[in-house]
Amino acid sequence: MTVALAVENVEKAYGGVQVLRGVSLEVRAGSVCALIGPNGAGKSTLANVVSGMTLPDSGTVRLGGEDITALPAWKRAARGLGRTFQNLELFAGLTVLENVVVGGYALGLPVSELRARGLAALERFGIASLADRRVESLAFGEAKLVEPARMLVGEPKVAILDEPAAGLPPDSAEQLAERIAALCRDGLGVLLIEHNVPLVMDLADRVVVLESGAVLADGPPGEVRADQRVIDAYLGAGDA
Amino acid sequence: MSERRATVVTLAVVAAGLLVAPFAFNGDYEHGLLVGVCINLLLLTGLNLIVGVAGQISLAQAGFYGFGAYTAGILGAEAIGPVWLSVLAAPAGAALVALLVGAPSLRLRGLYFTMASLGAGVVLFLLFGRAVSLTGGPNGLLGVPMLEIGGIVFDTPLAMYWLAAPLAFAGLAFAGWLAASRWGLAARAAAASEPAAAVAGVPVFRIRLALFTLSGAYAGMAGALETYESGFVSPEPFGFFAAVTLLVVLTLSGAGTLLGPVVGALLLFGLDELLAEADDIRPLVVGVLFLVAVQALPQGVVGAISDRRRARRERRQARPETATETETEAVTA
Amino acid sequence: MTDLLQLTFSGLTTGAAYALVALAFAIVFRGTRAINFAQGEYVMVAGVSAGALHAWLDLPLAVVVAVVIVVGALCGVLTELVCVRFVRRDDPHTVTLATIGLGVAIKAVALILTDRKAYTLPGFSGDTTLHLGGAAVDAQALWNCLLVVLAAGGLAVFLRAVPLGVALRASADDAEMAAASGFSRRAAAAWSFGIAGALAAAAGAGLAAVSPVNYDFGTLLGLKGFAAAMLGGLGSMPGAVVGGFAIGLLEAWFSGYVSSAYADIVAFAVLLVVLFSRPTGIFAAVRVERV
Repeated sequence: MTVALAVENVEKAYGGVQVLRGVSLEVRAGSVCALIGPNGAGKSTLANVVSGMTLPDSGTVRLGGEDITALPAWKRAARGLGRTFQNLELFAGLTVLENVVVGGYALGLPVSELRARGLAALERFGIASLADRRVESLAFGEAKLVEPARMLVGEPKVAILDEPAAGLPPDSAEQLAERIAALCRDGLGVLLIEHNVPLVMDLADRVVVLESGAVLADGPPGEVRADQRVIDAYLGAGDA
Repeated sequence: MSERRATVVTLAVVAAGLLVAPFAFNGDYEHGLLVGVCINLLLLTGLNLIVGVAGQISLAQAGFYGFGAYTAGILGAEAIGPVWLSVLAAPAGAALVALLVGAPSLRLRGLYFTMASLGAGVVLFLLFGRAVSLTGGPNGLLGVPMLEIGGIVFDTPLAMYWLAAPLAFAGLAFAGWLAASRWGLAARAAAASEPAAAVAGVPVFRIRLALFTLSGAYAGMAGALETYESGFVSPEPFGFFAAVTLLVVLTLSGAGTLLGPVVGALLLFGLDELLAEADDIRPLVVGVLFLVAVQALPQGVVGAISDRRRARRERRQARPETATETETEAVTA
Repeated sequence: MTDLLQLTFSGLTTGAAYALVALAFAIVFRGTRAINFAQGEYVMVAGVSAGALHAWLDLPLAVVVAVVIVVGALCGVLTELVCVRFVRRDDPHTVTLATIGLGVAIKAVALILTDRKAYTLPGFSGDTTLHLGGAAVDAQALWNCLLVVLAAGGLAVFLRAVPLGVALRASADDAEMAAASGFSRRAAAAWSFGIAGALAAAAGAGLAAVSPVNYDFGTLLGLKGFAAAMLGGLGSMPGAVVGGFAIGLLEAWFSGYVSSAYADIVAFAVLLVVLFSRPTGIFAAVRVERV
């Protein structure tokens, strides 16, 4: 499998605090690379660096081999990078369909064409019936699916999913995991940031553990799960 | 009623209104007022692009209006080139100024952009009044000739109306199209959540700059029409108070909607006429209206009406469990 | 050389007024994160009221100034009532816009009440003109500068040593914590606006003693005071004072050496330069997000 996204030695400090220390990881096409770790480990910062919301102090981010470290966020989308946010970032005042249609902006297609694609994306997440509803009126569980649907319209090759299952009841989380797996089978490379460890262990092909800004472990789920350092730092002996 | 149908109906109604108006309100004075309404429509449609669609509160529109007015006036009075050229130079010049102001200003977020637009507007206004040799200073610019395009002399208010009305209508139609296009949609999305728009591939700064530049062009065109309608240019209509008034009226009438600028143009006209005698009361009314506008109807009259309609529709469609589970935190502004 | 000195003193006089207004902006911004665009109109109300009071009632100057300062504080509280409480949303952006509307309304009322009349106050120490280094300086100029020093000093002491002031400062840093310990956000807002009003009133009285004032002179002054606050760094008190005097001096020197007709533009040119290059101002007190 090809390397769709490569993070090389990224360093980032905020006001004297070193948030990321030489972080490197790889996301391969058609696979899920999960990023886990305690709060404050630097996961969101890394997501921001990779998606272009922040510039790193040093290090490189490569998308399909191309160095995108200094590219603004909107240019990365055109090159096939998608991202969802931990705290719902929806376009209030717009309908659900309009919300997802914006995801296809970089494709350069007129709105009329994007509507069809938007509906298809909503269909994939099972919320096509909500297309004309105002996005603020959605229940939390439904609203949580809008961002991934929006991201999908943009036809990404790599997706950063920032806690997509957070706050979802177990059956919805499972459904989401299945959908993510299906997208991977279609070739999408996923960088999954999650706290839901069972979900991660089930879904991921590779797990990277981040602690205090540094990579603590990086390997297949079984290996990481059994790693003593990881258990001490994050998982705990009997953690579910 | 689907959105596209609503747009077409709105435009049809406006077109019909514009066609009928000069016959319903006959007479030179009335025609002059109608020209004024068209000028207001251009101003507000332009402002709507940056305030309503892009969601950035601008206080520079009056300054761009003045720039257009003075450009047309100075070129016309000094007989620099044919008269029709001055009418084209006005929106072009105002757009250029908007571009120059917008480029650094739109890098600033929210309130700071508003402040920059305020600063720019005030600088323009002060220039109009102080560059006496160029603009005639506070006493105004005289010697503006009659508008003449390709042999047609616009020597009556009715003639000016038949120029202003199609321009205003075209401006409205174009703005409506733009708002519904993927750029308009992207701009509205960016106003709701910049980070989400950015990762979706929207070049937020560029789109806002384009909309801001366009708003300048609209204002410049309005300025040229105003100059040739009255034959005179003075700094008064282009100051801080004018900028505030435009913003108030647009907010009250419905920023971000197609009908908003139309209602606004009529509202402005109403304000002017009702308070024509009591000139001193006008700022008081505008000030109070602003306080009302700011809190009572964030999306204006038109927005509130369409909101109520939609809410009624959704109540009919919504499932019971959805209504109880709605979390307002789920959506960020 | 006398010219430069003359211009400098002139610049310090207006600069003092800008500094007081800028301090007012700083206080309100710290307390509410909003910008009070009605500020300039408080200055006008104070100046005009002072002049009117003095003309009608012939009270001793000190009394007039004291009354006017109270009036200013009340104007501030009125603003808080209208722009924060009456307005259903109290986010800084909306409040700021509301203050614009209120400012327009206050000016209109002043126009109606005063019918464009101009008012003046006698200089605080009579019509004395001092001669310093060859330049003729209106004694009032020194009074105005003294007012700034007193105001800035008084504020500094108030915010550090007086319990209410300490609470206000705490609220500016962490509103929720302060609210939890009994000092509500609304109280903080009311006090901030009230103090700002008092400061603006002092500026107004000081200016009325320099030259005649009418309903119109507050708007541009307020906007320039705002420019000064931005120059110094919005929210910074020393910044406000420095910014105020800086703009006053720049304006005066520009007026003398380049062109007096365009002198008014200086403050706004400075504002734009600050916004475009270093929006946090000289004494960066707050982070400004860029796109």
